[in-house]
Amino acid sequence: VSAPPGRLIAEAVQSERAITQFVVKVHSRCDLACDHCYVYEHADQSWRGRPAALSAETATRVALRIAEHAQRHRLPSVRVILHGGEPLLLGPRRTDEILRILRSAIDPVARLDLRVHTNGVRLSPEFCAVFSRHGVKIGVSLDGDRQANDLHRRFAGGRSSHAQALKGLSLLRRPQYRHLYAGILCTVDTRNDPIAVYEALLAQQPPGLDFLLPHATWVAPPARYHDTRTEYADWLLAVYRRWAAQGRPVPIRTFDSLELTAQGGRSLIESLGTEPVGIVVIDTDGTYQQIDSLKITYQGAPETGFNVFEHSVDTAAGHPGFAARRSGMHGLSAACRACPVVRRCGGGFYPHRYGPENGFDNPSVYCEDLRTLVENIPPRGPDGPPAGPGAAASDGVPQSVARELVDGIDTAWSLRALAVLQNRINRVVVARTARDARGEPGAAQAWDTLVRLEEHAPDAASHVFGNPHLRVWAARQREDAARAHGPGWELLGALAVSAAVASGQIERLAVRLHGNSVYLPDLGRLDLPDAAGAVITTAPGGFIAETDDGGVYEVDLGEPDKAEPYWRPLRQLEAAGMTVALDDLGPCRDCYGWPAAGRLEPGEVAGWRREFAAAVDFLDEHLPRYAAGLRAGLRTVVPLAAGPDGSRRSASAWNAFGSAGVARPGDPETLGLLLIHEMQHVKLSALLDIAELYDKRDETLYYAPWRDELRPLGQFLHGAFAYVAVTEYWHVQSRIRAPGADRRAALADFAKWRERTVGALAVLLGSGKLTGSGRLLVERAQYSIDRIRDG
Amino acid sequence: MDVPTNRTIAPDSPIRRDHSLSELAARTDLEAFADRWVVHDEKTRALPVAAFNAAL
Repeated sequence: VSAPPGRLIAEAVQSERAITQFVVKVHSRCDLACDHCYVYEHADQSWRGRPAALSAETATRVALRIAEHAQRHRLPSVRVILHGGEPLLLGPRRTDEILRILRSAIDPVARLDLRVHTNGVRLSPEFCAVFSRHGVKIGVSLDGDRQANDLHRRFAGGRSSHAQALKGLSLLRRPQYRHLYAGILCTVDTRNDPIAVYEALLAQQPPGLDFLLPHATWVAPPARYHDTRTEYADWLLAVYRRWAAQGRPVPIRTFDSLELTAQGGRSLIESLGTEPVGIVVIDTDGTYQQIDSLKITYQGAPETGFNVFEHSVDTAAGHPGFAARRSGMHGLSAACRACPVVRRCGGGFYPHRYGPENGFDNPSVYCEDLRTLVENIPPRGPDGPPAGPGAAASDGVPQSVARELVDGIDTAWSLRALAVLQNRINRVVVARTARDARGEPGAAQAWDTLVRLEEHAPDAASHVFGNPHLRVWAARQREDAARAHGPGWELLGALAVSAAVASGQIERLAVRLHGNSVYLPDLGRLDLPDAAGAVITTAPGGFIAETDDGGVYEVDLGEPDKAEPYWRPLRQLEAAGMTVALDDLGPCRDCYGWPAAGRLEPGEVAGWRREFAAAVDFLDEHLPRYAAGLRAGLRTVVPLAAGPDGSRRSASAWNAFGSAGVARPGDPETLGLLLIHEMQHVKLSALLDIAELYDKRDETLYYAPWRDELRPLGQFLHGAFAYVAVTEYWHVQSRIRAPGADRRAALADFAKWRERTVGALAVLLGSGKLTGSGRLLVERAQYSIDRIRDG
Repeated sequence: MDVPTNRTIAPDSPIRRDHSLSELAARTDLEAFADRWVVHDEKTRALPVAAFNAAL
């Protein structure tokens, strides 16, 4: 069916005007007095004349206008960002009311992606509960470590806000709120050390990061503290190089955009690239505004003269200011249009172009910095992965995963992609096991709850399906003998409880006990003597268990490590930029071939925490690509019982992705070695789930020098792959140890492992039994070893 | 030499894209796919459970 050309054009114009992002200011004041803020510290002072908070009545009009707009343009989704001032000044109760209003008006029309952007100072469990209930992702502003953050982000009296912001961020790292964490925004100040700032931000384990240039115009140019014309580019490039060397451990939108535009892709952000922009700001009084940061230019700059009470979003979007910002290349100055890098920088952020004579018809005041950035950030390469877990999730093409692993054995991206595929495998396996469980008490309710939670809280569901031991459990459920050993079908109910807790939703679920206990994946174990079953009611931050013998047991998950006589929490190990579970409770943790340790005493946990943090620090300094791999792929460490002779023990299992079993070796560097060794096995096992690397019909046995015995090809490949990491470790040791006996011992170990690994790789390549992918992988491993030939 | 080509994940494999749990539950071919990732088989998996114990 063809439409008349006129109608097609009208529709095209209509869709061109579609606004997909709405910044809604819910509070116009702020509890901080940052001197770089565009709202209070620059030319426009209009905030003084507006209501402090968005009223329910105005919010209703806002919600209806957004719904009307989404319906008119048939938008599949819209994003609404709660902003300020400081949005949390509204308080949890009124925030809850505003969110309810937005959801009830917009949900029936389009998928509503809710966000809030805060300074984090007031973030509390109450707020997290509200945001969890409405599925609101939280972005936080932080400028780095305390010294960096204190340069600008202070309270009105000059007091530092750093400690409070970190407290807010620590809430977002807790398992029950982790899915709400959107990321961190940092404003650059070139007086700060770029690496220190980057590392401090990474230590907060954000799922995303971005850097903003301070707001400036040709009227008020940016502060320059160094004797160079490109100090902002230099600063960002220092971060970029570190980030790329670490295997891009976290998506950074500015860098991702520059890499994407370098290979002809689209920018992810408004401040770079020439894609038209569809954002509108709605203030507390219901007036439509252009982007807020125009406030740096002149009094009244963002005003449109339209408001939600009288005008539709389309009317506001017809304002010439929007048209200018949305006109892509045509809206740029003549100098920009003639510039060879214009498609990548896009003329920079619109407000940064403002000058006294030509208005916005100028290159950015950061023009030289942008050009330097563009010229120094290359494309990621033809086989290069898109950035971030989301991109990996939408890809899922196994061959690209294999290629990426080969091309950089330890890159974080390949691990994230494998993790996405493993998550899908876990879903398939649990769905199949749930089918087998039909008829078992509580199984149907548990499955229905998981299905429902996945619809309302997909991130929470995704989190529980990432648990490393689900396949081990599923495998045991297929065998009667193993099933009797436990955990049985009841784990399905426990999984639903963990998902409900992660979602922050209120659910009531019956669970059966196994030997007076129920293990809740990722959370801990309930020990309820004398009961056979319990009903668990989840709430944000905790749950209540009521047993069939009348007992009532409350568990507060708000305080990590808080145990009760009936509750043993799973404890966490933290290191810069990562948190993993120390699993001394899970019923499937005995899958590593050696006995798992029992429940650890607090002193032992403290030892683990010390050594783990120091191990990751060591890897960050000396083996950063492997450290990035741990960050992307390690979720659980299972403590193993120490051997009788104190020998080192570590293991992984083919069907437990993201987990390593380790007997605490007592020194951080050895722990680092054991972790990267096991991670090599974890990666290869995940790759073998999706790709053929060798001829499995081969029955030849190969001599494995590390065991002094004959091994089948698959195990031989695993060994060689792991010992690449071991060789790199000993290479580092041979360089950092003090001259003398210690260094000589490390050199001997390096030489020994190198020779064995090189030999094994040569045997593999000569076997004639590798597939194309297998051969690529082994050749890449050989390349890695060759690079360190001369010590 | 008769070396198999790379395994390609079937176009209808449930891991090719994100499936919702209800979509998975509705599939009649779920068992066949799931077994590949649950059952340990020396021929198809190549490694016994806990074969990776580090011997440093």
